[in-house]
Amino acid sequence: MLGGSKKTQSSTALRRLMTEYKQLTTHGAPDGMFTAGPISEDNFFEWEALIQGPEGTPFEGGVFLARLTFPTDYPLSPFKMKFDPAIFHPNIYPNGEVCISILHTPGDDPHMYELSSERWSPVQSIEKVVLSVISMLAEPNLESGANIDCCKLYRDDRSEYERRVKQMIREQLGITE
Amino acid sequence: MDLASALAATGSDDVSDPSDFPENFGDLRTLDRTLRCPICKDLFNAPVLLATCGHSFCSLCIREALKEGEKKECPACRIPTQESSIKKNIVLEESVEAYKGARSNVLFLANDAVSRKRRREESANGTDETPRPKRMKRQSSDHVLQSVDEDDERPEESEDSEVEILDSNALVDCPICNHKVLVTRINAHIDAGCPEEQLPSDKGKGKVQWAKLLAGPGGKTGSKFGRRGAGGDTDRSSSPPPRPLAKVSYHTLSNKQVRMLLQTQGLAETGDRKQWEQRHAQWITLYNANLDSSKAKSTDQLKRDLDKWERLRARDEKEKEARMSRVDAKGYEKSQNEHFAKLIVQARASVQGKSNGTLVKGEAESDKPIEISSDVETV
Ligand SMILES: [Zn+2]
Ligand SMILES: [Zn+2]
Ligand SMILES: [Zn+2]
Repeated sequence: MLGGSKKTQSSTALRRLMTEYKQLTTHGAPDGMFTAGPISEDNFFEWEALIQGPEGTPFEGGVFLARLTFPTDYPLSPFKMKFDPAIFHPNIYPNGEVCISILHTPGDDPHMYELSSERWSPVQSIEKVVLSVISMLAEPNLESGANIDCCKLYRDDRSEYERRVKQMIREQLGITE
Repeated sequence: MDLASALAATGSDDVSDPSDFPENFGDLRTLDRTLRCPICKDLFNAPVLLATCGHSFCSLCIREALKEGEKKECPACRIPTQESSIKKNIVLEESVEAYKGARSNVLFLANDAVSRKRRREESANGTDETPRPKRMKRQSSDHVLQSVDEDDERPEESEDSEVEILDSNALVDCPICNHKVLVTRINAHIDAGCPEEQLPSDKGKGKVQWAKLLAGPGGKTGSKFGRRGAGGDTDRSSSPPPRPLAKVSYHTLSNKQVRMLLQTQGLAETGDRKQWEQRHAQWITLYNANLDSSKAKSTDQLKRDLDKWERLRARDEKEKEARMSRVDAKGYEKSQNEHFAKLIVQARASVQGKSNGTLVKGEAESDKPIEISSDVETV
């Protein structure tokens, strides 16, 4: 049961989240690239996603955990996405928070360059966002850098960047050599 | 995840979506998808279209969406728009209402066809190894979704006496000439340019179920539309349709003027200035959305909706603060640790060069997390 939080959650947002959850569990993500669902049954507004590192990138072989936090007026406002533990990537803040235009509303504009056509809209979905994040892992966007050191490394020394990413993956998986 | 109890908590209808239809009924999935609002993903409720681009949404959904932010654009295609471009979509509403009535029967027919086909295949193979897929069923008695074994819910006699839609004797209406045609002959019939068809003498079977389907649940759909056509619509046409309320830019108004606005609409004047403005703005949204519905609510009902909205909103604010401070560590550990551990095992294997490191497809479908026990330490 939802227990105490039952009355407090906006029912439109809750229904929409349950619909998305049902769709994700019925169809699964394309190519099984990720799974996502509420962390606990007490709270449909906190999700977790497990994402496979895209093949053919330094992230291949990694499995990354991200927390999705939904606002009560979802889908009018976008959710927040935070990797835990953080990922070494030009568009991910050192605290793990993802910086991607599809999670910004047209009004909120941390980077002036972002096209409003790439922004959040209530017809976007969890699946579309996570797939965008996966493609962002493969192709960082240096114009919206969130981790400055990582941006520099990616631009100036690609092979060292790749080495750092692979090392991070091994550390996260607990592989020591 | 306990979808059932979460759903019961919303106190509303079950969550439906196109994937309720079996995979090989792609056309029905498409139909179901096209009749859904892209914002709330529910079947359209009082659908409207934006005259600026032609996209349709529930009236309330698009009005709420256009209320947010300064930039007013279609959520689907981002073409600039404004409230005055919202137009009732009458035919779409009629289609959706008819579909809502027919959906459960269509679903039953489709699922029934699939399970009969499977049973035939099973008895042909002489094996019964395949696990039956669970599906969600809404129990009318307590409004709770339950996962049920398909065989448990089917009445005994359906085995022989009811229709098989894939039965070669089933009849369908030809979309070209409107005559009854055997389902097995329909393609050939259309290809041949609609020649007269020989029908088997026993044509009752298929008809029973389709007649039910056409009548809707308990035969209500037909009469509902009849009533509306005869009563509601004529009533409305005799007096001019009510006008939508205009939006207000509150920042130019004095406190007194905002109170006047509330009084004019018969709304409460409790709370602070911010609450007055939110109350009035939400009233306009609810009121205008209601004008787009053919089953319009009374002003009293709308005011109750407004009250409910305010209460929910107040609680949302409180809950939001509470949630910020609380980390839901317990549930997190319970539901994800085992699952995550398994993925780590796989990922390790793949990084270390063993080949089976991909995420197992359909992982999320299984109800129970996979047991890993001590494998984690030993890898
Ligand atoms: Zn809607
Ligand atoms: Zn549009
Ligand atoms: Zn014909």
